[in-house]
Amino acid sequence: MTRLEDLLRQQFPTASLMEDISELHVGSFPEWNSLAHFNFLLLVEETFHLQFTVDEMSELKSIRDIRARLAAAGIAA
Amino acid sequence: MLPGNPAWQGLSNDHALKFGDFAEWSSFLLNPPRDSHESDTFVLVVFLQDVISFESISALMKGNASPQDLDDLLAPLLMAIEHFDSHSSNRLIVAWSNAYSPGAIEYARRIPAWELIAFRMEARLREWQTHSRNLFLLPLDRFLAEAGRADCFDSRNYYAAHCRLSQRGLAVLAKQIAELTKRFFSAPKKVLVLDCDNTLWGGVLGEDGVAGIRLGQDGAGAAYADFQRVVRDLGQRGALLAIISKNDESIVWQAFEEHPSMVIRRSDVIGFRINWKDKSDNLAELADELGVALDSFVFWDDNPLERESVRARLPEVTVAEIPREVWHWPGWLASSNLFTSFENTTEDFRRAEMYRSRSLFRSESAQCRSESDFLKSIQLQPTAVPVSDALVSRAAQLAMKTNQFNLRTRRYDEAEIRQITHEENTVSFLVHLKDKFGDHGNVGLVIARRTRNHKVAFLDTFLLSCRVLGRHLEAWMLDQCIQRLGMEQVSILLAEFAPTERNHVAAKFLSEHGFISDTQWTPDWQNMLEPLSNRHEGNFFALDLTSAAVPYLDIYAR
Repeated sequence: MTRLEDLLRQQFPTASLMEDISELHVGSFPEWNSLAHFNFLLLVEETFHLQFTVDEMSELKSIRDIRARLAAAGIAA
Repeated sequence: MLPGNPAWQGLSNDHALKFGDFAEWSSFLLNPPRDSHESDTFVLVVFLQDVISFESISALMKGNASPQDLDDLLAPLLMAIEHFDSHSSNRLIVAWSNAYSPGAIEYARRIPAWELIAFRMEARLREWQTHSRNLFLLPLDRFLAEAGRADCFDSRNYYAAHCRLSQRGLAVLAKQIAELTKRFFSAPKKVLVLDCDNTLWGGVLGEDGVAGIRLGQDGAGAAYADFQRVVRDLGQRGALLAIISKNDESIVWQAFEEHPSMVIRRSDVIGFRINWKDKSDNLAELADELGVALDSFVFWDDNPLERESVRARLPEVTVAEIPREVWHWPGWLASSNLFTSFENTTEDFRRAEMYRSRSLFRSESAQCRSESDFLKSIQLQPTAVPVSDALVSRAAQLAMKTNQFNLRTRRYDEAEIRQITHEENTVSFLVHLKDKFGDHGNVGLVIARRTRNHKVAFLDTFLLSCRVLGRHLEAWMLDQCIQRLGMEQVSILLAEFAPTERNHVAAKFLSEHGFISDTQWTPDWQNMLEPLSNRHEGNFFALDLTSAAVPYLDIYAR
């Protein structure tokens, strides 16, 4: 099963991530700026075969937000 | 364009990518950067809807849009592109797309307005392009359509991040940019090596007989014939066609001559190995016979085992990973870019003929007793030709592609050649050769630059196409260079041999033509030839032009 943590590492290969990523959000480390976040959301979409709305693209700002949105679609990540 | 998106990964592996802000496109084009490196390439990606407003299109459609009306709408964009192209020596790729997809009814009785605009824009850019060396066009809609337009656009991305394309669309864009930039830095392939059975025709000739192979009429047979048409077309545009097949030679030629649907003629085939030997050995032999390096070969064989074996034994060879089914082949080969140049030079169209005469030269010279008598008998007629605007592309092609007889293997593109040959202190010329075996075209390039010490010149580029080796043409080229430098009062010609894996054939040229290695220079010379202080000992040579006696010139005396 692919987990958000793997995708985070894929999007930010140079960032050093802590064990528990659930508290991370846009800006948690320098590489995670708004543009990189957009690319990260596209990666999440592609991996889990779903599409966020325009509003969600600006509202989903943290791992917690994304997990909740995925859970609502029946996806555990 | 979503910098950092995985779609850009492939391109950023080979290049350093920088992204500009779309809002700045016009100020960027109107003020080309001054600090750019010559080899930098700029890419402008335009969606027509971002530079022309819907309101102006609506107004346009109220009347009959004249070309002038369209030009007025396009003027800001076209003027900026033309300005950039006139004021920058960098390459500019303009990629454009019409993001608006009207329905069938809009097309039924007229051309939809946005398409009129797109047609006009392309026509104007193509017109400009005929006078421009650095403008490259990428009509993006053609490539997006191939990948599936609906999957390539993503309106959500546009409203959320001003990017009209989906990840897939970005990947298409990145791939096409990569195809162009690859060709900026590496020459197309030269030789297409084909198998016969289940490649040029369906079936096995040895078992099915000439009448039994599938070629021409029926479904798959028609696909084989179409594949042959694409192959032959490549041959006529400069690719050399060769055959390597495990077969009996006589029956293969019988099929070529007797099968009514054969498209490729025996005379199209420039080299062949039809025998039962290992295909890698045959390939290596063929490379030697044609004088073409293996990395210019493409190997096309339906048998995955043969492909794997060649890939393992001759990693330089490009093994075409071909679609499994023959009906995909014609389209696959036609759009592969493997053999395609941006521009075809006269030499491209005549290449097969030239290589044929090279084979003839080799077989006749092998029969003749004295080399000198033989060379005198073949009526060599070299000419030194100035690198005019019309010949810049040929000069760059030689600089890019010549691997064997090339003293320094400096790769210059067209822009660099144009710049170097216009420098005041430079002596440069192309070498054209005709002889009994035919007109070989422009086969050599010499560039010598006077150093700050005006008595000394440096041989920057000295190269000769391998297909005319064996004629001592390099001696004649050197003599021509010396004569021209003599007129400029130059008395010492410095040269460097920079060894590569491929230029052994030129290794002894300098020492055999009177140059003295820097290991044997007198102290006088050592002093005069500073500041070449960081040179590699043993690779630098000098020739005293006041006493130089170039050998072999009697061959060329008329």
